[in-house]
Amino acid sequence: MPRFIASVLQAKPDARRALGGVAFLVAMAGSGEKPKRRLFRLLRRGARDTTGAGAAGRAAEESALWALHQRASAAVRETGEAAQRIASHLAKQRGVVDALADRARGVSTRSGDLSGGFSRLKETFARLELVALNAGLEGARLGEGPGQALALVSEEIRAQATRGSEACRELGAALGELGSELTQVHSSLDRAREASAEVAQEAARVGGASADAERALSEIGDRLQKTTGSDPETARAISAATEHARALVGALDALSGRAPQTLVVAALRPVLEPLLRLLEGEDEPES
Amino acid sequence: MNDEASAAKPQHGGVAFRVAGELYFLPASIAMKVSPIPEMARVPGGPHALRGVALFEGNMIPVVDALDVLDVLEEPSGEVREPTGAMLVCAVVGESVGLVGIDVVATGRFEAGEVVGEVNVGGETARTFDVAAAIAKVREGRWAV
Repeated sequence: MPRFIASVLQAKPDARRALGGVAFLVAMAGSGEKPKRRLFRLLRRGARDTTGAGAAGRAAEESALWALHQRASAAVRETGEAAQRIASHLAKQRGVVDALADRARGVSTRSGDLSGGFSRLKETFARLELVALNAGLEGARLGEGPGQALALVSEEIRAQATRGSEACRELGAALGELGSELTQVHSSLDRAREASAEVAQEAARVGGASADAERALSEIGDRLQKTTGSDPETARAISAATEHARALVGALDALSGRAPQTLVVAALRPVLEPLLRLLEGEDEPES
Repeated sequence: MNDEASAAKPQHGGVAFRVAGELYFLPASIAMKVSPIPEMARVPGGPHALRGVALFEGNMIPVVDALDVLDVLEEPSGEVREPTGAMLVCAVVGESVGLVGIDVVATGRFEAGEVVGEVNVGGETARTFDVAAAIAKVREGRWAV
């Protein structure tokens, strides 16, 4: 403990009480009457320690423990909410996949219809080719003069019919490839649906585990409260008070080097004496 | 061959077709029509070359397989055109007969070849197909009666 503190509290040489007074001062900076009283009690208990460092250390430990507990609780809650969100997204995704599968099925049916249409078109071109061949034969039968025009028309029709027939064959082949692609799309969608169902199950498991963890953490919190006799708010306040106390002690120590001790004592006495009186009045028997 | 020589050669109208890769020609006086292969009914006990009978423009006609008539079993090589899968209806001494197993290559007028009965089709020589001999072969073939 700084020398200056000891000299300031010469009127009340009990160093433990002095530290309790400082702690009370710091506690005044906090908020709420009930926590303040508990804080006061705890710090006074700590002040009865020879150095006061043990109480401060315990307070810091409890505060850290509660902070960790709160972090864990928040993380578990976040995990549960994330699992719920994942399940919700998966449900949406399943809807989209189902719609996609329906459309792929529709396209597949349409592709089959088109394939039939192309087959009929191919037959038509084949017939047209035969008509052209017969026209050529008729032209040949008519002879050089009148048959020539018919032969020319026949050749042209046959050439076009052949082109049409080839185009139909190519389109039919492309349609066949499209059909096999659609089959693959179907199987991919089935796999996506299966994977989605598995992920949904996993998300449900995560949600359940998260709920369990949340319950367990709540129980840990209750037990922690029973064991330490503190709650998160008090632990936080104690930790903050400890920090403030350290800062105050440091500031008083620094002040001791600059101002005459008698002046400082005279200045602080009116503040500290009522507090000390209050401390004496609030003193409760320790169990 | 120069233009004058080409012009001097006579032309024959008809149909050119392939049978097992070989190019054949039938004059327009015999080749009546090219039609899709019709539904055929087998003739019980008939020779193999007779594929059956078919209804063509209201008449029942025999249908003969050119491959069987020519006794060609090998697969053709060097196709000029895709097979049309057509039947060539021929008229021989007042009778009609359908010829299948052929790939019609072209119809029209073709330049006569060096040898009588041959024509030039796209730089290739086509022999005249002997339909009468084919019919005779079917007639003389083994009938299970």
